[in-house]
Amino acid sequence: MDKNYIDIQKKAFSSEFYEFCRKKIKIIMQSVEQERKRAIYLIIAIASIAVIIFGTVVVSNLSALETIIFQYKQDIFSFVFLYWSIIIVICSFIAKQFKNKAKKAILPKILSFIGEFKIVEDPNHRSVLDSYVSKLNLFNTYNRFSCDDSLEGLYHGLNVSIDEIKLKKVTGSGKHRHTEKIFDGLFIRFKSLKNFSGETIIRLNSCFDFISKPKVNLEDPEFEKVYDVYSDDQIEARCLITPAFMQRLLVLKKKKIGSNIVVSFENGMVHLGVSSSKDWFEVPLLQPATNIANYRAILLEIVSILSIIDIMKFDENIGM
Amino acid sequence: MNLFILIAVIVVVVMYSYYATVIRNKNTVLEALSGIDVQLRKRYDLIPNVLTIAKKFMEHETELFEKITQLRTQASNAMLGSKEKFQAEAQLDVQLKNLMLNVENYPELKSDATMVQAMKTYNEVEENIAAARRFYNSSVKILKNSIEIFPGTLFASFAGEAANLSYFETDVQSKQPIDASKFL
Repeated sequence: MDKNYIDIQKKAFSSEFYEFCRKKIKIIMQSVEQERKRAIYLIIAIASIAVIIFGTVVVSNLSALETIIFQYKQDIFSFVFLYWSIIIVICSFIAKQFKNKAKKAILPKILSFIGEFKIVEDPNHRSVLDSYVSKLNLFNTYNRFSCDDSLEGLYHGLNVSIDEIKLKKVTGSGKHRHTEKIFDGLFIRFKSLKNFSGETIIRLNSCFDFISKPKVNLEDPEFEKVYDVYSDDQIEARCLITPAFMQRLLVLKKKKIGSNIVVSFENGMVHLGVSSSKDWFEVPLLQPATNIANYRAILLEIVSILSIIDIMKFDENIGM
Repeated sequence: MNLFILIAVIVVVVMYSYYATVIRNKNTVLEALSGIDVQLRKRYDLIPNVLTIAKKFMEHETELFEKITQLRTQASNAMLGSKEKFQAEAQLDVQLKNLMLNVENYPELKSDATMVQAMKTYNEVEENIAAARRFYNSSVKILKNSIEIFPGTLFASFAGEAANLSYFETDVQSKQPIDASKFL
C-alpha cells in the first residue's frame, strides 16, 4: 500500500467507501444492528425491572419510610447505592459485550479497506506485550496492564503494531488503596529505519520523571519547554532528534492525536505512546449500526494514527 | 551560635555544589570534544577509501583529490579543540561536498556498488559529526552559563582551558550557497 494517510482520508469520504460498505459489510451491518437492538432491549428491560422492584419496595413501605430512613439512614443509602451500582454495572456489561462483538465483526472488514492491516488474535499477545512494555523506559512503573485492541500491518514499508493499552499502578490495600493512571491510550511500535544501539526517550516535561539516563539538552527552546529527552548516548540522541524532528514533533503536538505523545527509541524500535482516554474503534450503541458514518469514523481513527508516521517521517531514512 | 554554624554549613554546601557543577560541565565539554574527534577519525579513515574508488573514474580531478588529502592530514594532525583543527575541518567539509557534487557527473561512478556503500557510510558519518558538534555546542553553552553567571564566576578558574573554547561554527566559505551548475 503506497497511499499516505491523506489519500486514505479522501477515500473515506468518497463513493468508493460507500460502495465498499454496501457490498462487503452490508450483511454484517444488519446482523450488528440486530445485536444492537437486542442489547438495547435487554438494558431497557433490566432497568425497567430494577425501577419496578425499587418502586414496589418503596411504595410498600411508604408509611414507615420516614421512620426507616431516620433509623437506618446510612444502611439505606448504602443499600440504594449498591443496588443501582449493580444495575449500572450489568447494563454497562451488556453494552460492552455488544461493542466487543460489533468490533470483532466490523473492524477486520474496515481494515481490509485500508489493505494490509489485521487484528491480532494470538491469545499470548497480551502477556507478551505486557512483558515487553514493562521493560521499556517509555512509561513509569506500573503493576496493572490491560489491552483492549491490537492491530498490526504494513504501512509505507514499516511493520506497524498498534495496541490500545491501559497501565495503572495500584498501591496499598483496603481503605488505603490508591490507583494511579500511568497510561491510557495507544501504544504504537515499528522498526526504526535508522540504526541505533542505545536508548533515547522523549517525554513530556514533568518534575516526577525519575529516569536514570542522563538528560539531553537540545537547541530548540520551544521543544525544551514541552519535552524532556533522556539518553545513554548524547551523540546518538542528537542523530535521532535533529532540529527538523523537533519541529515535526511540535507540529504533531498541535494536532489532537499528538497532543500527549511520548516517543522512545529502544531495542532498535521506535515506540510511541499516544495518550487518549477515548475508546478506539468502537461501534456506538445508541446509533444505528447501518449508519455508514460510524464506520467512516473508525476508518478516520486509523487514518489519524497512521498520520503520525507521515507527519514525523518515520517512514523515511533521513536525519529523522 | 547554632544559627551561624547552620548558615556557614549552608554556604559551604551551596559553594561546593557550584564548584562541582563547573567541574562537571568542564568534563562534559571535554567529553563532547572527544566525541567530535571520534567521529572525525571515522571520516579520516573513510576518506582514503572514497578517494581510491573515485580515482578509478574521475581521472581529471587530481587537484581536488590532492587538496582533500592535504586537508585530511592537516586536520588529523592538528590539536583537539584548536582553531587550526576547526579551520582545517571546515575546509575539508567544503572540499568533500565538492567531491560529492562532482560524483554526480560520473554516472558509472555513482552507480558503482562500492561507491554507493561508501557514500551511504559517508552520509552516516556526516550525520554523526553534525550530532557530535551539536552536543559540543550545547556543552560549551552550559559551561559558559555556569561560569559567567554569579556566583559561578567565582569558580571560573576551575574550568581551565575549557572556559576558552568557542562554539563550533562553519567558516565563511561553507556558508556560501553552492552553485550546482558549476559541477553539472
